[in-house]
Amino acid sequence: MTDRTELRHRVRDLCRGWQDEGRYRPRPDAWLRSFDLDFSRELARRGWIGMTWPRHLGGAEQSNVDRLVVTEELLRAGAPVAAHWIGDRQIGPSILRHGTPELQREILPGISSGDHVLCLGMSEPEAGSDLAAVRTTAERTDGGWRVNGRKIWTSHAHRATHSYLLARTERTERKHDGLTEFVVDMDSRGVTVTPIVDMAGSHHFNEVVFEDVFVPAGRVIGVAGQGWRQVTEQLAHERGGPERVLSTYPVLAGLLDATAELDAGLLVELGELVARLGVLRAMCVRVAEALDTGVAPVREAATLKYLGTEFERDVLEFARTAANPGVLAPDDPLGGAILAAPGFSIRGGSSEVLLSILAKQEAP
Amino acid sequence: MNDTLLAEVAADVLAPVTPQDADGHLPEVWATIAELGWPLVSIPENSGGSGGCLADLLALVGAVAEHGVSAPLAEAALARWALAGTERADLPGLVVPAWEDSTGALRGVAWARHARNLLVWPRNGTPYLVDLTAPGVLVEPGANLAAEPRDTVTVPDDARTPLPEAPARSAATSRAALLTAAAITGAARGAHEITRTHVTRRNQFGRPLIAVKAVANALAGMRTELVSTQAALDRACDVHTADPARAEAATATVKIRAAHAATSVARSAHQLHGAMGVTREHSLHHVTRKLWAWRDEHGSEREWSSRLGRTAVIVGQDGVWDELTAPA
Repeated sequence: MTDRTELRHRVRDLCRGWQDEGRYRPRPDAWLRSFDLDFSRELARRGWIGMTWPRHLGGAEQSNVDRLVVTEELLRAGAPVAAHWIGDRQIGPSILRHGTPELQREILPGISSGDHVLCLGMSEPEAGSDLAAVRTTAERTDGGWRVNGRKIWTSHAHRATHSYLLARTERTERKHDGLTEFVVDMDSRGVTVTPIVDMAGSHHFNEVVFEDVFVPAGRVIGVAGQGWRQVTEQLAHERGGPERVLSTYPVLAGLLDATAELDAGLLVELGELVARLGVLRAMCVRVAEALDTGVAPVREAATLKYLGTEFERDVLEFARTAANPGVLAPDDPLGGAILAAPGFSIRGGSSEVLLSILAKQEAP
Repeated sequence: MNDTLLAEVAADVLAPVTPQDADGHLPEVWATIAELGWPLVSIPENSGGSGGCLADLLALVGAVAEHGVSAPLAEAALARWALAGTERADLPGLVVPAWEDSTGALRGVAWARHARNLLVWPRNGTPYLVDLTAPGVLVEPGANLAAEPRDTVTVPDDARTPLPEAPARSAATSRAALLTAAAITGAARGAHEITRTHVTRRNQFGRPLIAVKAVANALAGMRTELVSTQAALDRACDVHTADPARAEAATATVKIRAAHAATSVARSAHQLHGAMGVTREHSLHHVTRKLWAWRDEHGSEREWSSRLGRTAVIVGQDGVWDELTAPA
C-alpha cells in the first residue's frame, strides 16, 4: 500500500469508527453545517489540520495532494468538519503567505490544534459577491485600528474565536485599492453576533456587527491597502477544494449502496454522474498539484467551482428522480440538501461571477 | 520526451500544413508523420518503437487534430502498439485496426483503403491479420461526418492470419477510446482557439464581439470544457500507463466527457462565428466536423455511461470511490 492509500484508510477508519459509535451521522454539506469541536480536535491530534504548514507552526509539512486525500475522505464520509474548515482551508494559508512571523505564531498553531475557530468576515448586505464594495471601515488609531461595519452570512460566527475581516482602510479612486485584511478576536468589545436562520431551519449563518472595535496593528494580514490582491489569491484556495464537488456526496453514496433496481435510463444518468465526479476529482488533484508547485491556480479553481456546484445540484435532482420519494421531510438528508442547494452556486463566488472571471482570462 | 520540446516538434511539422478535408485522401503531411515515427511513440525503442510515453502519443494525436488535419495517426499507433511484441512487429506499410460488429462484418474501418494490413478483433476469439492486397479482399469506400475514410471490408476466410499474441479486444477498444478522446480534446482546443481569435478581432456594432457579455461568457464556457476534458484525459492516461487492466472507468470517464465537450464546443464555436462558420471556405469546419464524427466513435457517451452506471450499482459506493481515487 502506498503512503497515500494508507493515509486514506486511516481517515476512513476514523470516520467509520465515529459513525459506528453513533457520534455523528453523515450528512450533505457537512463542511458548512456539521460542527463538532471534539471531532476537529481528534483530527488535530492526528496532524490533519494545517497539515501542509511548517512544523514550528503546528503543521505536518505534507503536500497539498496529501491534504486532498484527507479532505476528500472526510467529505465523502459526511464528517462534522465545520469547526476547522475555514481556518484550515483558507485563513491559515493566507496568514502563512502574507502574515508577519508574529501573527503566524499567534494564530496558526491554535488553528492546527483545533483551539482557534475562524469565521469569514467578507460578505456584506450591500456588497454581496462584490467584495470591492465592502463598506466596513478600519481607521488608524493608537497602536492599531478602529473597525466599524456589518458583515453577513458569516458561518459559525457564534462559535468562532477569531474572524477574518476585510475592511476599507482608504477611500481611493479605484475601489479595488485601499482594502485591508485583519484577524479580529471575536470576544473583542464591540463585536455583536446575531443568528440568521436559513430556509432549511438551520443556524450557521450570522450577522456580525463591529462597533468601534479595536484591532491591534499586528493583526493586519500582509500589507494595508493590498487586501484585494491578497483576497483574490485566497479565493483560489477557497474555490479549488473538493468541498465544491462533494457537498452532496453522501446522497450519491446512499443511492449507490441502496439501489437495487434502476431502469436503463437511470443507469445511464447514474453513469454520467459517476463520470462527472471522476472528471471533477481529477481537477481537484490538478489544483492540489498546482498549489504544491507554488502556483495560485486561479483559472482551474474557478472552473472547478463552476462545474462542481453544478454537479452537486444535479446529484440532488438525480436522487429525487431515482428515489421517487412522494413525501420528502425537511430533516431527511436529501430534503435538507435540496433546501440548502441554492447556496451552492453562490458561496465562494456566484456561478455568474466565476464565468466572468473566466471570460476575463480569455480576453487578449 | 519533455512536453515543451514535443509541442515544438509538433508545431514545426504541422504549422506549415493547410488543413484540408480528407475527402478520402491521406494528407501530404502523413509521409512526414510516418517518417518521424509518431505512430511508434510510446513503444519502447528496444521493441522497435520510438520510445516516449503514452502521454507523448496522446499529445501528438491531439496536436494533429487541433490543427484540423485528418490523418490515421491514432489508428496506426493503436495497431503498432498491438503488434509490438508479436512476431509481426515489423509489418511494413500502414496497419489499421478493425472490429467485427455483431454480425461479423467489418464496417466503418478507418483508413482501410490506404492500409496494407488490417489487424482485426472479432467479438470473441483470436485477433487476426488481413493482407488487404490478398485476392478476394474487398474494400468498399465510406466516410464519417468529417469525410474521413470509414470503409467496409469483406475478407474471405482464407485471407485471415491468426495473431494470438495480440492484446485482447477489450484492451484494444479501451486504448482506442482513449486515443479518440485525445483527438477530440485536440480538435476542441483548435475550435476554441479559432473562435477566440474570431471574437477578439471581429468588430460588430462598433466594438469587438468579445465585448458583448454573452459572447465572452460563451467563450469562457468553451474553456471550462477544455480544462475539464484535459484533466480527465491526463487521469486516464496515468491509469492506462500504470495498469491498463483497470482502466475501464477512467476511459469511460474521459470518453463521456470528451463527447459532451465535442457537442458543446462545436455548438458554441459555430454560434460565435455567426453565419461565417458554416461556409466551406472557413477553417472552422475542419475541427468541428471531426468533433461531430469522433464523439460517436468507439462508444458514444450513452453507451459508456450505461456501462459505468451498471458497474457503479454492482460495486457500490466504496467500489466507485476506490476506482476514482486509486493511485495511477
